[in-house]
Amino acid sequence: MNFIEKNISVEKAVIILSKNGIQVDEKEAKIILELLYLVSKNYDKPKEKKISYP
Amino acid sequence: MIKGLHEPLISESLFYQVQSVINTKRKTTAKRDDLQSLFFLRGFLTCPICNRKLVGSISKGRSKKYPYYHCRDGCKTRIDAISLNNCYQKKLQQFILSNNTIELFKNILEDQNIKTLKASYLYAQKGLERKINEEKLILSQGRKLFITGILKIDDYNELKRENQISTQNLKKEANDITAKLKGIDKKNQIEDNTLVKIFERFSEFETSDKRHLVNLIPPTDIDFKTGALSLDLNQAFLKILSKKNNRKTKKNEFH
Repeated sequence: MNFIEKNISVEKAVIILSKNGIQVDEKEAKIILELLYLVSKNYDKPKEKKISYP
Repeated sequence: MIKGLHEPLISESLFYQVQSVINTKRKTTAKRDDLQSLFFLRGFLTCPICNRKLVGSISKGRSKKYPYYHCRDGCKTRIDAISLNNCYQKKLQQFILSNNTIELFKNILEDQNIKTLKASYLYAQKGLERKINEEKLILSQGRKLFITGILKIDDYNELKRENQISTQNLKKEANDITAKLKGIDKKNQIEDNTLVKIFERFSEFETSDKRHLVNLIPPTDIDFKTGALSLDLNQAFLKILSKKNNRKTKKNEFH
């Protein structure tokens, strides 16, 4: 299933980024969270053998 | 259909309309996972001649198969799928997470790891501890029965042997889980320079995730002769991504 449970809220993301000098609005934070959660989902996967194309 | 007491979310007629759509025989294209994976840019490429979306298919050569993204109905546009896929991946991997975003990414990784995997391991660990204690209790009860003469020596020895095997197995499982928990803690201490390469393992992403990523960062300015392309990074991503040489891209597109 492609569902990712997100516990970091948009508001929290805005605060964390702002603390680090990145100013984003809620719309931007939402899409940033979407990207980072997507990447994190695949971050710790065990390494697979490279599949060769036909 | 069962009538509920709550207010319906959709009308009955709409429900049947949707059911009829679901039940119609529809043409399914690119159903196979391997084809979806091979042509993960499908749907994001537009023909420069006729402006239609390109499709993907494999041409069979004499000794080899050649996958292409191509146009249809007589339009000759086509491009080698592997080289275009590789070019997209290469462009993507030129980007790293900016140092200012590491804290947020760490929070997200922790959210994914600790709240799911770590919680399940801790739960299993508690279950095993409970079972080990139960085994101890059974042996203690057996010993009491043996002392009072209710249990014969052979039966007690058999019980003790079974109990030892069972406890050994449970302890082995518990050790495995402890090792896994240590592994998770170690992962959370990954050095920041490794952490920033968020697209490094793009090739191992699930196909649906690859396509999700392409949807977020679509290819643009594709040269159908050379296979060169650019990435269309929106303003939000420009704030959190930087090029590997640490120079921030100033334009909306990365060439």
